[in-house]
Amino acid sequence: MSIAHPSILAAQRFLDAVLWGEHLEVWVLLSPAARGAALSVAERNGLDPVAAARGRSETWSDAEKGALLADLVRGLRADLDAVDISCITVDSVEILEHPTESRTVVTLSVPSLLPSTVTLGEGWAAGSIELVRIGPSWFVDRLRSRRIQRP
Amino acid sequence: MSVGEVRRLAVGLSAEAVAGAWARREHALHGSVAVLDVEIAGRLRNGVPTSGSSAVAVIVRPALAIADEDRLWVAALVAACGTGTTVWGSRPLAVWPDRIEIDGSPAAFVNVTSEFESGRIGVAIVTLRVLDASITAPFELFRDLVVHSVGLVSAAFSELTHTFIDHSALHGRRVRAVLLPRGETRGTVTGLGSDGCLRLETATGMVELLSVSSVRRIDLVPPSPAASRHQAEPR
Repeated sequence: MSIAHPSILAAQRFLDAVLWGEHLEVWVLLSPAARGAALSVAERNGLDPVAAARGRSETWSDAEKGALLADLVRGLRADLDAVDISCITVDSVEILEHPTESRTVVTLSVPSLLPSTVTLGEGWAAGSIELVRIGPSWFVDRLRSRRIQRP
Repeated sequence: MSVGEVRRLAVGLSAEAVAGAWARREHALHGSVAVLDVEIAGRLRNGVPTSGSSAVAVIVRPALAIADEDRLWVAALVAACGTGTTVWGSRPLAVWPDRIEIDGSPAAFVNVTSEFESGRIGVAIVTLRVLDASITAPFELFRDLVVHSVGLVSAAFSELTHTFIDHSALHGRRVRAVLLPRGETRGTVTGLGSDGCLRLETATGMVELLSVSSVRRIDLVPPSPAASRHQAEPR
């Protein structure tokens, strides 16, 4: 029996937290760089820069944090809305070459909806999650989703 | 407030169509009711077809803003559950937004169609469809309960909410809401919003309010893995 790479477990926890709307858990599982990116996106979408600064320094109020992280979860769900998020499985892990950090990319997929007589692989690509190791733990650094092209 | 008359048909296409035409062309009074003993082309919420059930459509003219339309769905469910065990043989429970269950199985559906006037709901048709052919739709009792509940939607919605929670099969349960046009959300049902939408709360306290028009269906689900972790390893 093979032992799953710890970054796979972190990715699975992250997906569960997004699926279940556990916004504080989502925040805990993001790397500092990913948190900064999330706040930058929120700032571009109209978040008050002072509130964003409070977020970066983790000095925001509970209500402020709750509202922003709820938006973050909705945004992550929107990123994944090309697939049924509850069906996403973690396929494989690729360990990235990096001079100073331990990094992996976890590939996500969903079961194929084609009839079983058609063999085009086990599932359809749903995106990937890049993770970084900080201390003993793995954190989500980036989510790359397979987006639906809208007109 | 005067209560309108009853029109009963042995067979008809759709109770809403009968009641809607009556309301528009003849200005039917608040509380008028159309009864179809057999409805052959009914539509549930989101246009899902149904046939063969008996249906009761109550015409109401609520004093309600358009944004609060979801309150009428709550009123419809409370009225349907209020008909009680004598009609259904067991205690009816409400599955927001439109289902009535008896012993865990769907027994009836409610539907609300509204026509808007400037900034408010002019007329709404509240329909109850009974799936079991052996049960006669309790049209007079349902009509009285709908009129009573609709009277509460603007004046005392919190009272109606408490009554609804008593009848709710979902309250305190973990659910998965499949959304329209796509996507889903999950959480524990913790009540209703002030406009009648369903309030979901996640294990970490995130609150989501679901409107009737945003929900395709709602399923009960087991606890989330993270919630299980929180219980096993409190931080």
